Order: sequence, then structure tokens, then C-alpha cells
Amino acid sequence: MIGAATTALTRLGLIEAGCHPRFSVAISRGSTIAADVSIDPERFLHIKGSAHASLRAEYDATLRAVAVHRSTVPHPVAHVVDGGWELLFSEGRRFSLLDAAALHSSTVSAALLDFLERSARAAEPARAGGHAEFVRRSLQTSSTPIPDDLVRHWTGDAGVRVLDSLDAVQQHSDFTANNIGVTRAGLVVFDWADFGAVELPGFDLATLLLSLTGFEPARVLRLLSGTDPSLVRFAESACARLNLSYSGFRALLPLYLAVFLALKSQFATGIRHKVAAALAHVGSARITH
Amino acid sequence: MLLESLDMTVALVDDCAPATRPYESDRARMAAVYSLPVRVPEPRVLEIRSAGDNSPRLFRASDVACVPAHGLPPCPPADAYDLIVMHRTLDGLSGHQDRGRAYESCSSLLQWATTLLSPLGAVAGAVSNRFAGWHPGFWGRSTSHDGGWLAAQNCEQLLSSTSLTNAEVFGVHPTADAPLTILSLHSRTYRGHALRELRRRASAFSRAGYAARMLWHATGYGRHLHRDLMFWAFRT
Repeated sequence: MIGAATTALTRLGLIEAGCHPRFSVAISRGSTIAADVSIDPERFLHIKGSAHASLRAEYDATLRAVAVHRSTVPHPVAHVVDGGWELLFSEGRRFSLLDAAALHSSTVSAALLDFLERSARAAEPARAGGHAEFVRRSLQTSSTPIPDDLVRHWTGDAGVRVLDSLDAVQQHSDFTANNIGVTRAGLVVFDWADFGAVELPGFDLATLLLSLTGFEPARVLRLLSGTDPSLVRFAESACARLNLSYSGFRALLPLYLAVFLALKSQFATGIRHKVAAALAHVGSARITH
Repeated sequence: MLLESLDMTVALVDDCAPATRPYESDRARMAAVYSLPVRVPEPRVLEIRSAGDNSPRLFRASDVACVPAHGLPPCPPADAYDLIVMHRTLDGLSGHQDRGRAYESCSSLLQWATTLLSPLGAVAGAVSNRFAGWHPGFWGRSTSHDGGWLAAQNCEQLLSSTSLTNAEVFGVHPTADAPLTILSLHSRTYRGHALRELRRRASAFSRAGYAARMLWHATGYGRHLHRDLMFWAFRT
């Protein structure tokens, strides 16, 4: 991968031929390898590499995201296939990770609300039965089992009626705290591979809030019941910006947790079990419409 | 994929979406890390082992050569290799020898390995860091590979004693046997890389632990004290 990346950097004119750039490499427990490469003392690029899967769709999705979210998206530089590797080059950004305490910062929470609202501005009426079909497919094909009563509810008449009343919103779809960085200039959001994969309104808000609870069952339950003051105020403000009722959003949260779990089949076993445990815990506390 | 690890079949037994998690097992990630400098799609690989190292091969189709108590390994089957891996092999050369002699043995072994490389082929390996014991986080903690006797500078000197070029030494996190991150130890870029990596893992630390680590890397001390080191260098 390093050889292919160096060749690509030379071809892209980002380093001189024969130059020996310095890499640092992270290997997740998943399917990709991430590397940072210093181009000069002030600038670095982020490289995502895979010898197992195509990254073309992610590159295209990231370009689409740039059109909506502009500087919040690290600018994609190139998609390169070479020597058995697919490489995705993007602009490197310095950032601090978002944590729950960051919601107390008016600057950060305002930036998050702006981000969510930007997605919501492109809302369109959903295709008839589109949400219901997506939800049924997601829940029934999930590699991690989803509680039966939740599947029954959201594929039954009452659940489908609620889903049919929702608009369609193109979103990040993996808007968790570990994909969000805080910079001096505002937010930077990473990993746009799933951009547009989920069109259920409020899904990004849900994954953000759920990830800030660490998917700990007790905290997820407090979020659901509206008794976590650190998250409730932000959630209410966000719902207002998204034209969603807060109570309606809370009713959708268990479903969104299940859809998130179904979509994240490639997550490490540990986090999948954690999310599944949270889902099982909130099952009995489902809120009716 | 570039190189296949024996253990990748183990990773594929994971309960869900098996094919999407090829780097789940520690050994699969070890193989992936050693594959990084390889420049050809189907490399010929030689693993040079310490005597008595009977662990499974890292790569499905690799040849294995063991370093005898004295001298160099016997000639391997192939004439030339695209990748030669020395996973903790140099650590083992310090036993029963004084430091100077051990250093000479390492140098001889690396020079011998160099003669087996194909053009643009790479030697890659890992060693325990001699200075790891100075890291406060490791005080009083025993590891399976105590007694490192090489530091990053020694690795650089050893590699430069051969005809290999573009040598690079990395700090490995958390260990070379279960790698998740390798950080270039080049002095001009280390700080930036280390601080970014620390921010990426910030949620794993308490606020005090995070602040201490920031200070540690910002002052540059962290560069010398990784538990394990990894290196690679190329034949021109």
C-alpha cells in the first residue's frame, strides 16, 4: 500500500519524484487501512486503503456530500486503483474528537445544529411506501437479530402509517461522535461512505445522541424517556430545526437504533453487542405514538 | 488482497459479515502491517525466525528460515523474495552474547537477507524497544517480550550498515504482536502524527490521562518510548 500511495502522490503532483514521504498507519479491526502522510510541515493527507473492497462508491458519495456540506467535509483529492489496492486520498484536518461535554459549548452545539439543518433543508416528500420498505428490509435482513416485537410494530399498519408521514432526507447515516471532529473553524465530519443510505428524518440526530450516550443501556433509556438533561435541551433544539416533534422523534429512537445496528454489520463484535444490548434494554420501554 | 495471512481464515469465522472484517485477528493485522512496504501484487515472502520459534506462518505461501545458534540460516528455496519478514528475530540474537557480538550478528543477518531480496523488495521486522521500560505506563508491567536491547537509533544504524535504502523506523501501538497503529519516528513528522493519533483515541482515556499523553508527545519524549518498534527498508 505504501508503494502504491507514494506512486499515486507523485503522479498527482503532490510530491516530487524520488521523494520519501513519512507515513503513519492505523489498521482498524475492519477491512480498511488508514494512513496519514505528511506532504510538507504544514499539510498532510489522509489515505484510506483497501485490498478487499471498492472505495469508488465512497469517493462518489463524498463528492456529493461536499456539494451539500462544503467545508465540513474533508475535501476528497483522488481515488486511485493500483497494485491490488484501492486508495482514497483526502485533505487532512487537525481536530479534537467530539464528546458529550462539547454540547455545553454554544459554538459546538450551534455548529451541530447548523449541520443537521443543512441536511433537512434538502428534504423531499418520500416515495410512497419507501420508508416502510427500507425499514422492513433493514430489520429483516439484519445480521444481528432485532427484537421481534420491534420488527412487528414497525412493519405493521400503525408503524407503516407513521413512516409514510415522514419526509425523505439525505443524511450522513453514520453521524456518530467518533466521525465528528471539532476544529477552530467549526466541525469536520469524516467517513461519508454511507451518505444517503438512510433517508429517515432525524436519523443523524439519533445516531449522534445515541453515540454520545456510549450506547450504555441506562443512558439510552434516559435519552428515550427525555430525562437526560444534558441531551434533552440539544435534542429539542435540533428537532425544532428539523421540523420534527420532539415526542415523535423519541418514539422513533428505538427504530433508529435498530436500523443503525442492522446497517453496521461490519462493526467490531464488541460494539455490535453493546448496541444490541442497548436495543434489548429499551425494548420494554417503547414509547407509543 | 495483497498478502494472505493464515489467520485470515480464523477472522472469517467471526459471527457476522465475515468477509468484511479481514483484519479482526491480531495475526491478520501483523501480516497486513508487514505487507505495507510490498510493491508487487503477489509477493514471494520469506519469514526469518529465531531458533525455536514454532508459531504458525504469518503468510499462507511464505518460506521459513530459522536462524541457528551460530551463523546464518541455510539458503531458502527461492532465489529472490519480494518481502523478508523478521518478526522479533533480532530480539532473539541477543541471547548468550555480549551486546557488540549480538549487534554484529544482526548486521550479518540483515546483510544476508539483503542478498535474497528482489529489486524493490523490502525487509520488514519488529523488535522490542530497549527504552520501553522508561515509559511510566509500562513500569512494573511484565510483557512477554521483556529485555529489548535495540532502540530506534540502533535499528536505523543496523539498516544503514547494509545496502538497503529508504529505511524507516516506526513506533507500534499497542504491540507488534497485535498492531493497531504504526507511527513514523522521523523527528520532523512524529509530533503531528502522534498528536493526531492521540486525538483519534481520546475517548479511551480519562481527562488526566489524555492531558498527560498530550504533554508526553508534545515534548517529544513519547517518540523514544514505544513498547515495540517496527522497521522496513528497500533494495533499490
